[in-house]
Amino acid sequence: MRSLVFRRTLTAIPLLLGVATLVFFALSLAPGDPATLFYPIGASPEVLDQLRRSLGLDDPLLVRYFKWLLGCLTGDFGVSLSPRYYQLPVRDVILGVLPNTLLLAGCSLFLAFVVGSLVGVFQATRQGSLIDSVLSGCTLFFYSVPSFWLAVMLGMFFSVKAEAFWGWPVFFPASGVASPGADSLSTWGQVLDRAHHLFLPCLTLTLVMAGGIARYVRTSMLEVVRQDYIRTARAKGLPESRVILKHGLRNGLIPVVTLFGAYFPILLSGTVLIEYVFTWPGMGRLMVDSVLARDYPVVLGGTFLFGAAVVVGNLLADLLYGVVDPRIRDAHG
Amino acid sequence: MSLLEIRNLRTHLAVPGGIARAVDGVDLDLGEGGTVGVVGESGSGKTLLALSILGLPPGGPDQIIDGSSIRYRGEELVGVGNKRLREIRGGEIAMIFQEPMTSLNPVFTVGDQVRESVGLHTSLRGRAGKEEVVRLLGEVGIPDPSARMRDYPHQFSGGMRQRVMIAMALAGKPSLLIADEPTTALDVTIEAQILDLIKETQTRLGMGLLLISHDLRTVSKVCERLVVLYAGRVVESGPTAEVLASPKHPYTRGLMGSRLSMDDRRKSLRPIPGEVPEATSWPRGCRFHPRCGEMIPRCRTREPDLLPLEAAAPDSGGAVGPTTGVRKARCWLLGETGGGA
Repeated sequence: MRSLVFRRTLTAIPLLLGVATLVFFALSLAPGDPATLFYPIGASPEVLDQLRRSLGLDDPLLVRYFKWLLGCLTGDFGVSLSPRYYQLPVRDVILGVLPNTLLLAGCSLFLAFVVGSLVGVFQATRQGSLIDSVLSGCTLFFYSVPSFWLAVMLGMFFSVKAEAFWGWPVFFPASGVASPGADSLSTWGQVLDRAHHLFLPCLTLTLVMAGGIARYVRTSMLEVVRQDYIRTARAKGLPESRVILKHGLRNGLIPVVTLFGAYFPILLSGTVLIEYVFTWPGMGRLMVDSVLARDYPVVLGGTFLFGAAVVVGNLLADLLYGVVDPRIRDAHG
Repeated sequence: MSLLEIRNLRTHLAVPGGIARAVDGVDLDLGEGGTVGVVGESGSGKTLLALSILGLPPGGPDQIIDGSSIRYRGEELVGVGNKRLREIRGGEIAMIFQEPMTSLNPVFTVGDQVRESVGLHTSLRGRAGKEEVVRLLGEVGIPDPSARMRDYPHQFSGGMRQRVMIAMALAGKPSLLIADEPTTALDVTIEAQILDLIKETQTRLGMGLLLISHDLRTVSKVCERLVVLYAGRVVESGPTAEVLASPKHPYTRGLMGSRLSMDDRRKSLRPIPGEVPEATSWPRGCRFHPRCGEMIPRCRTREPDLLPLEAAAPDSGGAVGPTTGVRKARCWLLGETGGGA
């Protein structure tokens, strides 16, 4: 197992370098001059030149590339060019919104995997029953609907038109991370206020992911419960609950590890649409705003971070395979 | 009181295309410490018969039709509660399966899996439980058991996995061992070792053994009595030596003709033509008649009963107990009353 960790981690390094390279050159090819965006139209060429010099934009491409690589290693992605974060280091800009994304995506990921797995296992043990069909319909629905549509609908039912719909006041805030003046609340008050705001975006993201996970787990468990070792487990006199939850689930979750690898990057990238609908100031929103503002150092830094998250997600999935499946541990160990 | 007494066992499965009457009125007796072999081709209902005894047909115990009776030491198992059934599984009646490669859970160590059975059916816990696992694994011939118990199934060969399955089956100190084609998936060289192990363990622990196989030779090595199954029904039964010396049913003769003999190299193979029909639509009359070379008109219309043969050896009854005894066969050629052919 230790050698599996070591080898997989080593292979991630060239991948990260590749990501950094690709991101840099792709964005260098993009049209537009940051300097002209930074100053009002009609600024004198001397002023623009001076800005380009101070940003290092007048260096040859290769020099800028190596500076960028060096920056990636040290976590220095330059300074923001947008008026909003005037000359703030990109790292600080990102670190300013990252906790919001980590909170939203982390809670949603956790809930989605717990809820999705439970629903999938439950369905698999009742294959073909009415409740299985109903749940299949639900999971297909949440899996297929556009996340922004679901976000808007949930916002309507639980916030904007909540009272008209439910008949009594059910209210979850549909925007922001905290109430105005939340700073003056006690610590617990602030936690509750944050959770209150988290509810709708988290519910949306959880439902969207849990739908896919449940369908995946159901299929996987249906395959597993037909296996000979399940029959062996029953024949030795184990109660059905332990047959399913011990012998079944451990095997049924092996393919689900792939999904974990695929969903992991949202921890760093956030989800653009859901963050926009609920005005949740996370990475997704930051990236879109930065693209629109041609704040290319932030876009570069953010994109590199996403790429790194994908690499790390896959690395984690590979390692998790080794944890849950001893055959893989050996094959690569 | 016999160890196992099956009367009119019918297990019907709902399949696409109708109801598969895969086990359809089977009678079977097994005495304490006795050995019975169940023989038949694929599709004759052997495995389902075994699974039914444990209440484990693929679609649940409900597939065992009312009127079926499986008595274990006089206790009716058909319709018994889940809790009692779980005590019996592994604790009274243990089973080993055909596919050692897939019958062990790939994500748990073999030690864990044997220990699970120990924990279910004995009071041994903790250190004592672990020692019991080592003892069991050693008993079935796994070298260096205290180290190998930490290995996973994929680190074992097929024969070794089957030994683990046997250790797991022995963990609950069962009185009856059901072995469903335990050697079919193994190399011929390993086959003899595993059969010897099963036979030796059965004798030493005084367990009853129900050995299921498609291979008459396998069964004849181990079992005192033989039950030949065709299309969900018993077509012939009796003491192994007698059945093999003078098979009464054309199907039994067909099975014997389908194997090569080391003694008579000039003898050519005489396979049974065709294959077992679909369990959703057994033929009318005798279920074997479409493939039978000795068919008479009556075979097509009426099914013969399983009747005792007059020629049953009278002296074998007392010697080994209820495991031996009368010979029976189900064939019109033996006459209306089932008299000797």
